[in-house]
Amino acid sequence: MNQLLPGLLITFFLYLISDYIKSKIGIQYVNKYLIAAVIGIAFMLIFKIPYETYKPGGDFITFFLSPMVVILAIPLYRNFRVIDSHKLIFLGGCLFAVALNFVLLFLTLKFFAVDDILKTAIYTKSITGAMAMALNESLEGDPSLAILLVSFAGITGGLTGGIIIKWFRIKSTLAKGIGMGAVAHLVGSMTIHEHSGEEAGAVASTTLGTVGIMTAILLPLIINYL
Amino acid sequence: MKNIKAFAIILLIWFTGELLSGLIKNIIVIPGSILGFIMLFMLLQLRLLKVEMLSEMADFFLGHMTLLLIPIAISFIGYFKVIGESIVPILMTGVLVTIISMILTMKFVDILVSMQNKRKGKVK
Repeated sequence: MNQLLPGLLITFFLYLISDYIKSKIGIQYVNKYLIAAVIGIAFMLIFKIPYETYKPGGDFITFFLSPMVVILAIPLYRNFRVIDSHKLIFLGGCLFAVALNFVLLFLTLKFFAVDDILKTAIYTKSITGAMAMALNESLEGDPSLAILLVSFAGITGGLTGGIIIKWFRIKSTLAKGIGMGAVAHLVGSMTIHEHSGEEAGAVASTTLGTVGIMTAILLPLIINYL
Repeated sequence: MKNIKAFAIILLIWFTGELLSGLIKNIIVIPGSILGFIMLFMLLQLRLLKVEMLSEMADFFLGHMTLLLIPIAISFIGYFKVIGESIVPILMTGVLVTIISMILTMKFVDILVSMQNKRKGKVK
């Protein structure tokens, strides 16, 4: 059998099933992604399907995330007015998120003895995968460990974002987009696009790039002091 | 044919981004896809590329982004073995700090936006 087939089949059917369930229940803060993640992991564990069987097809789909990042320039172009009319707040929000992330991680890591490789990976958790991998490589970290942390942050943000927006009564599109893009990178941007619409998605994907570039500039300068 | 052409343009821009990323990698690490994102945005803003050309293809992809993210969620099964004893710091930073950062960042921006709106209201 073709190696890609199991992963492709599982992913496409998970998407179809989650789309169907979502259209039936329609609870606002349960997103399609959460449904697909829960059913998918449960399915793999219950039927004892080894991850290695899924991986080739999964990697094939993940490949499309890169051209997807390029495509995200189109919603940004369509909704540029939102950012253009709030330039200072946008940049301030991004910088706030980067600084807050560093401070919170610094304080948390005070309680744990982690080695330098894990530490570097942790500090790059909120930027997009490709960027985190490259940054870890240049800082003598472990790119695959970086991807693990990046996935943790992305999934956490993608799954909890809708609930946070509801519980903490976040109103502005700008806040939703910046929060999701700055903390949960690509996963956050895509889930907020589904959750709050194209405008929020456009803000999030621009934030993702901005925060990534800010982190890539700042982290190499301060990593030795962290 | 229109959508195939549109996707080919995206691939070409991505490729250019990758080349550029390789050139500047000693100065700053920026992935080719992010540079492609910036380039496509500039091409659209400068009207060198018409958005109508790309719209249909883009909307198809934008409508199904969740599909592309499913493998990341499934990959957690593969990670169970790797995490091992680092589980506590990974959960504390990857999950807890992520949630706190998100709440504070959203609140911060939300307050700034409502302050700006109020000020604009007064000026009027």
